[in-house]
Amino acid sequence: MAETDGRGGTRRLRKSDISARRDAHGAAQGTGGTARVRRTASQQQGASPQRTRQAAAQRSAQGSAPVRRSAGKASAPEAARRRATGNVRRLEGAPAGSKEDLRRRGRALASSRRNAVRSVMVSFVLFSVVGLLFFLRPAHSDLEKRDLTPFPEFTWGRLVDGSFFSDLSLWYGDTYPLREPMVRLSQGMNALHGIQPKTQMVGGTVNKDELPVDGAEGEAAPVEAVDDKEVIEVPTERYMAEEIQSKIMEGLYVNDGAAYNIYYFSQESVEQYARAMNTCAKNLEGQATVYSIIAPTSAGALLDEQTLEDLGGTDQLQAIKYFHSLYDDAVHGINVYNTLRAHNDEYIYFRTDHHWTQLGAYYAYAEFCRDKGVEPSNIFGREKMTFDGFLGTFYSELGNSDMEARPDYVDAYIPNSTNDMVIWDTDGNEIETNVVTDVSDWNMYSKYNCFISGDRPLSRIDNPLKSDGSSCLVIKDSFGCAFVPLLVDDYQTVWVIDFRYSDRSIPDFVREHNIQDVIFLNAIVLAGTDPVSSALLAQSQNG
Amino acid sequence: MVFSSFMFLFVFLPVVMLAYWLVPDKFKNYVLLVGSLVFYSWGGPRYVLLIVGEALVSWLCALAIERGQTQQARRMALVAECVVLLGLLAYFKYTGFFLSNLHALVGWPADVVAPVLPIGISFYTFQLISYVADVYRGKVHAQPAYWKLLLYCSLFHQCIAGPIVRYETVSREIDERHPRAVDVYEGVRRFCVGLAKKVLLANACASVADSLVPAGTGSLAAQPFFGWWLGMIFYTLQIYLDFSAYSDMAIGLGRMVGFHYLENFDHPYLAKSVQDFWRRWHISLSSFFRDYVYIPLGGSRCSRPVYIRNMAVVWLLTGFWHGASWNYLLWGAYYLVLLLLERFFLADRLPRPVSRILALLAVVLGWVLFRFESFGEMGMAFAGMFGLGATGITSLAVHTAFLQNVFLLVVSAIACTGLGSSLRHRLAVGARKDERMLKAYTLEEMLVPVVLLVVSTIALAGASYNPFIYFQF
Repeated sequence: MAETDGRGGTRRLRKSDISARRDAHGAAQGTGGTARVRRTASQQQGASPQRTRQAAAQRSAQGSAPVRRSAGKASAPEAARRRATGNVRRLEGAPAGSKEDLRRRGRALASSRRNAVRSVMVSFVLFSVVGLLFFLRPAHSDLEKRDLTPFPEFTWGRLVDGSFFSDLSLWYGDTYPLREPMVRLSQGMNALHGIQPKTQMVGGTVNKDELPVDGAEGEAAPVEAVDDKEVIEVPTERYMAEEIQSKIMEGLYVNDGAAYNIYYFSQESVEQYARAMNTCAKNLEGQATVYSIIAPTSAGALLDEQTLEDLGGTDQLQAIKYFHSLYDDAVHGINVYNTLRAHNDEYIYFRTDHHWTQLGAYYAYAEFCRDKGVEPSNIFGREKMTFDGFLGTFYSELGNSDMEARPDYVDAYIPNSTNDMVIWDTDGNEIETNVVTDVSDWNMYSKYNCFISGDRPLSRIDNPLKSDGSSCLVIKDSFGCAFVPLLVDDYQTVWVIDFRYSDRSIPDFVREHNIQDVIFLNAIVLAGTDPVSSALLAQSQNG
Repeated sequence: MVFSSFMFLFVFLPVVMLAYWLVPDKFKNYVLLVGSLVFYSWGGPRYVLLIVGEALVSWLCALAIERGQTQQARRMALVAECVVLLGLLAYFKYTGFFLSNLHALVGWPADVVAPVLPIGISFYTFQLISYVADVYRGKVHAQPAYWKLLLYCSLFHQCIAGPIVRYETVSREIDERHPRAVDVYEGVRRFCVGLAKKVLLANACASVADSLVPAGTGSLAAQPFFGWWLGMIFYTLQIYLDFSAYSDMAIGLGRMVGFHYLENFDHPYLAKSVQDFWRRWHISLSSFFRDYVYIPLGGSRCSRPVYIRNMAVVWLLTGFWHGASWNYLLWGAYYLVLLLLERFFLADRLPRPVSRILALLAVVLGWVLFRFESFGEMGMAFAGMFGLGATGITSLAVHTAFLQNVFLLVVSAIACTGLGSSLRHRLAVGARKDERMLKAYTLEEMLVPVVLLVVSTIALAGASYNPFIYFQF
């Protein structure tokens, strides 16, 4: 083939018209039309100055000597002849298959290929130029609820081991100015991979541990608390976040625009979690009461028994009983499973998000009050804010169009006593904010953040209507956000620690602030995750 | 740096191509060399020393061979080349493997510390060895300019993921390239097709395979029969589309600037037999082993035991080249057995369709060995695929994965055949006579590259989608 040898092609070019036909024929076959392409370029020299420039540009782009030679060799009479026959209109009348006709077709093909190369080059240039618009580079993605990769810090060490360059690539792609609209487009493209059935199971290939039989009966022996000398390996924040995320999303049952996450039991993590509770209670003996609330997932609270069994997760009621059976007597395990199930015809969990609604949190709160022997405050008499158009974490993960068509809404009840609170961010800055924030203007993925300004290392809410010195500490994951506002009217001070962003000793903190009630509130999937239980155990030791 | 990244596509490639286009002919190779070294250093600058050093050794050995007075001197230079390059390959690639096995056997050394594998070392080592061996055989002349040899082995087109380009293929083109308009077009088109294959198909297939048959997570036991097959079929598609896409992009990048690399894949899943599969799969590797190991050992024109020995050497090496782990050796041995079976027992006795199906089945089962480094998981996979697992026939999760990816499955399977290029060919033939066909053909030729590029870019951005539900602010 001509294409494998530049010189062969050149020779062919110089041959007379006999080979022209063969060339045009070859060209039309898609790969062999080299000579004709070049001839077209030289033909156009005489025809249009603009085209000449383009042809010349292309030639120099190729850096190809023979092409230049052949272009220069077109003699004056030959060029004139080509000018005369170069008119495409006139040639259209030429009989099909004739030499002239084939040439015309070859020219059309060559010109479309030139346009193809040009448009690819223009695309590259455009994308590159957009990449240079540094001031448009986003630092945060609302869609993904995360800070995008920062520009890497330069050190010689990082240069030598290659991590500087790989982070640079990551930064460049992650903060590319057009990235977010393209991500949205690509989600639309992914939908073309197949059919979206109404009922789905996404993931779910998970190895779970079997619940111990005695545990399911709630009769296992409590696990030993650890003393302060034991060194607990604490996971990094990022690792914990990744583990938690994969745990939440590892088995999603989707039905009619609502997702439900399945819980898979892991013996070791659960034991470690119970050890944390027992350690904290032991260290706070005589100081405070420790409560533990394990929130079931939406699947556990809402789905019917048969579906749950078919999906193959772990029975959450039995699992919660097992958690509790490992607790010492000093830990009040509050079982909120039955009460949530009893209300499963109400809007107690979101359909597009893995959290419970504040109504769901309220039923857990009522169960907590029953254990404590107090009357729950009547939240339904409170001022309520409603935020429409909420698409939560399940939507972010699945991009399900049924969810898009029917988003969730968030009801938030404002405490009677106050809506003010103080938070300390990860850098220790004190910030005044609200128990319930108006998030109407926020994007549709962030509506759940209306509660207590989201997940913070430390927060405090002071109730101006009380001065009895009563206080509680909620150690929580994001399920606690909807729960905390419910306690505000009951205590003079409500403290909140999100253990994922904190490393202080809980017993020390409780003694320091003379707190009476310590409430651990975790979603069951998180409580059963290694990094979570390790972090909690480490924080349950005395400092 | 990988081809399918924003950094490569919209920073590296435009800069290098622009510089290449702007400089006079005699400097174009310098642009390529500097670009290639930058490209290579992206994966860890210190390993640039390795490739520079290996090229230097090979350059010296080749010159020594060409100038060698005696056969013995020439042979010594070849041996030196092999010892140095294979020694370095063994050190970087196989130290961890040998030490961990030693540790398992005798409990020593206590801590297995393996060196980090330099990117592309398996590819450029073989390229340089083939060069020196070809000089030894008198097939090519030794390259007098060191930097040109370095350019040959470090050229970013093929340096890190193949194909293993022979020096003889490009020896003339290093000095003199004359890309014509059609080369530029075909190169650009080939690159865009490869990019799309990688980003639109291979990555999507990989994500289905990873969700159905995730290696190394211990969660495989829960996978039912159909889940195994669906997962392995997607893996089969992924591995071909991914690998051949890299070769497509390399061939395209080369062609744009006038290099003509040989094809590396020829629709391997359409193979008529296992032997045929290996004629079509990673051709540059199998032909390397054929030309530099199998034939020197005596090939097939020898007694049966010697032939079997030759085959065993080639296939165990092939397996081991793919990775430093027992499962790759097993994978090589698996093909050894199949090829011997084919030669001595089957020998074209099967009807063509049966033979095709069996070959494809053998390949899919072979990928099980390739995918799972742990023998426990491998056993689970075979048990599951032969219906011996205790997890039933199917599940809602498998059903969902199938429906959600059914079009992807069909399109990816078609992409493994030659349907696309045969349609293009028909269009080209029709365009010679028929006016509408001509219109369609010119339109197709114009739109395919740019549309694939833009769509792939969008999908590439989508692949970085990583919702972090817990970093809320």
